[in-house]
Amino acid sequence: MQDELLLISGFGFLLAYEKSEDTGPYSGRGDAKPFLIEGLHLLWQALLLVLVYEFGVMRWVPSEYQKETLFPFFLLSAYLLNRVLKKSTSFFLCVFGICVFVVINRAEFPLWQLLQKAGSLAAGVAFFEFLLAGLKDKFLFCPVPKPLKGLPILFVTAALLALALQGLFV
Amino acid sequence: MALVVLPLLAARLHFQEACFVGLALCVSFWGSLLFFHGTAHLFPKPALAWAVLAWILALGEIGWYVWGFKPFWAASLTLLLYDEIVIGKYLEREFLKTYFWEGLYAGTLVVFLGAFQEGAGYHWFLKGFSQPAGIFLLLVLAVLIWQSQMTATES
Repeated sequence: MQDELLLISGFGFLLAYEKSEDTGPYSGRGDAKPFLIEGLHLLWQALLLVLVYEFGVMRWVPSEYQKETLFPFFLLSAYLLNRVLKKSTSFFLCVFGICVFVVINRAEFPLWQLLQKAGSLAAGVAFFEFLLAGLKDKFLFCPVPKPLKGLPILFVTAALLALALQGLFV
Repeated sequence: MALVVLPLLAARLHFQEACFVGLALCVSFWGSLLFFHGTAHLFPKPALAWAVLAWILALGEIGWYVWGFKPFWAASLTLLLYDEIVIGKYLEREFLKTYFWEGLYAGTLVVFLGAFQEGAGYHWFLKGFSQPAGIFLLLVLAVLIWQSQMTATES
């Protein structure tokens, strides 16, 4: 569970940092819809790639070559989806990271458990991103000590969020 | 720059592995920028993104299959490289002066991450730094050190 939490907080931070840089403050509008949509995108892309890997690569590529195909398959397919759907670099890395994590750490799990894991990781990343981006926005209107402005305060916030999630799930 | 460490969190690097990954990241970053500094004008604009991806794919595959790094290191390399080259930020900046330190700093951060993650298994007072909250607090320190160094250089 610890490794899953590391993945969720790492990639969730990447997405939230980029989101808040690109789109600016969002909580003034109170709009959670973009995050929900992005979370759904993350979910279906991760599930699709894991499914294709299981039914395509694992079934048709000889077992001695499966290790070599894992990395290029996920990087290329996540990148292609990213180009088609016009998402950001962090988003495609996030899809890539979730899929690789699920497939590398498999231990004779049945397919439905792999899909369940990929889905829960995607949902976790989207949830972390949503919370962190909202809090980041609040800091625009708070007195933050000068040396901590920008990235450091976002790291401190992410640390607190990660502690909260750890308390819930670990 | 500190964001480079984030994709590697889930890889759970040991110290020795982190040293190799840090070194590979640093050298690949410098080498790739030098390569594309000389050759970027040969690629048509839409093909440049694919060329960078193919480059990262080749480096990542070497790291994964030959050196045994977990594929997350390629995600870190992509974070460092992709936008710099595709958007062309690297053409606007002082090449050696900026990127030398950035690459070195990224590599050092990865080594420190590995040291803390491995140390957490042996020393109780480091245990917190193997968890996400502890790592984020370490990153706060890293960013503060980087910012103070930049301020000192500018003044």
